[in-house]
Amino acid sequence: MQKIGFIDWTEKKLSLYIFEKKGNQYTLTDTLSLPVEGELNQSSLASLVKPSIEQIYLSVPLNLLSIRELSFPFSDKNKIKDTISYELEGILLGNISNYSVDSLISASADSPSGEKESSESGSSVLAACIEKPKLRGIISLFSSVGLEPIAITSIDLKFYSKNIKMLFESHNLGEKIRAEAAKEELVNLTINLRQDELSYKGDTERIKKSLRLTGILIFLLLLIFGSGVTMKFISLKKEHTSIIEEINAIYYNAFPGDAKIVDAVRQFKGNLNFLTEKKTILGGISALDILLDIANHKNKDITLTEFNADGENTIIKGTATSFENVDAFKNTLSSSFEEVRVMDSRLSPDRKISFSIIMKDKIS
Amino acid sequence: MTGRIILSDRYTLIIIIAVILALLFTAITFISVNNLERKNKELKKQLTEMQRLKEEFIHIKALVESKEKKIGLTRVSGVVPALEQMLNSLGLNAKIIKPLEKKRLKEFTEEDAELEIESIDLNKVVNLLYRIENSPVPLKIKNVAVKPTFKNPDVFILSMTVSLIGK
Repeated sequence: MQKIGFIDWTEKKLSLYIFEKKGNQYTLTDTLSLPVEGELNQSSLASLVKPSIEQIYLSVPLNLLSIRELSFPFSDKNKIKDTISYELEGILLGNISNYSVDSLISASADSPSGEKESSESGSSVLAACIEKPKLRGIISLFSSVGLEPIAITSIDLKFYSKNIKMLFESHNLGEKIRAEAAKEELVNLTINLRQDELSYKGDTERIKKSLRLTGILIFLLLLIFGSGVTMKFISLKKEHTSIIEEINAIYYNAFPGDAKIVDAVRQFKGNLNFLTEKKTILGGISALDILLDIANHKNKDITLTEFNADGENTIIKGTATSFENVDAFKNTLSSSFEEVRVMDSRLSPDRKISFSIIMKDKIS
Repeated sequence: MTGRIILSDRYTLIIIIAVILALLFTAITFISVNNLERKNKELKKQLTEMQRLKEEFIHIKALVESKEKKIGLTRVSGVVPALEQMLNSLGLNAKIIKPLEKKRLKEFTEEDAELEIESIDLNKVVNLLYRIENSPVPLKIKNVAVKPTFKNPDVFILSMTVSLIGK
């Protein structure tokens, strides 16, 4: 729930109405009042400071404002705003640029109904003006105690805009009525004298600060993360170069005659295939190596009787004392040969197991 | 409103631009790192493959070079005389020794011969195989079969096809 303070500054009193905002509803929760004697100062304002209040609105007394009544042949608020400074030129003391001006369409003093006079034929406008140095002083005084108003209005002007003659009469309104008027002001401001260079920038500054801080933090985070990633990139790049150099070195070492490497592995395989074809033509089968391998795996329970090798398959035949011995022999052969399988094993009349094993030479 | 604040304030704008640039730089570097990691992974596989192929290459190259050297060094009239000379030196008699077809394989010629020896003990089988495989003449064994005889299981029948390689 947002807490909003409305400071109602009159000639003799300073009141703070504290409202709680829930949705679009404002509820008066607290009121503080203190008398104003002479000039308003920091010490008197300090007693109004409540840390829980998030936004402050200020209503200034009428004696700080210069009020002018003007007539316009139109009632469009934007047109009035654009042209009001020209209308006020000459009827205010000094230059119009030294004033902060806002206006409201007022009720005509002659209008018996009291309704605002704004028709297509024209409108009667009340211009509320305040010298900028004076307004700047008020803002800095309230800001110095942490009560910078986001808008500066006038409750008195709101009341009296319906009857301009009452502006100049001493009239004391009750606190309840003023608090109600403050509540209405929160919903719809009658005027706001904080305009142009004196407009409220607190939110903007806060957003700017948080944006800058967030931006700097994100930048620092990215910087740290980016540095890590960059370091990794550099290290990977070095590794990449080193691996390529190593691959090329292996290639050139094997084939020093080749000038250009496009795909080292493919080129290497191509050259190796050519060499393997030569080996196939020149090599033949290494019968002694095969016999030695078989003999190394054989145990005393196995007797070999026949050997056949044609370069593709090797077939061995023999006898064993049990089927388990045949299987064990087959398994040990698998470490030196490929696709080892028992083609045939059967019990012979002499109670021995006759077997045939077929296998392939391991591709080196 | 935030957009307007960013655009209107120089310092905030500079910070936001710096953040965007840092973000772009980090994103591009991050993508490049991922790509490079993938490439390096593939290259490492290739390197392992190359190292394996290198071992294979050294082995095959040595074998091919040794055989090619033999082809260049020796002059023999044919595969049968070469085998007969070998059998004589071992005191063996062939039951069958006959030349088979002669064919061209790429840059080489291959002259086959069929050899069959009866009643040979295992020791002599090994000696003969050793002689053929380590002969100064470029011979190769295409197939070999060792079978026991019916009469004596310690005596074998050796039959094989041997080729003489030439250019």
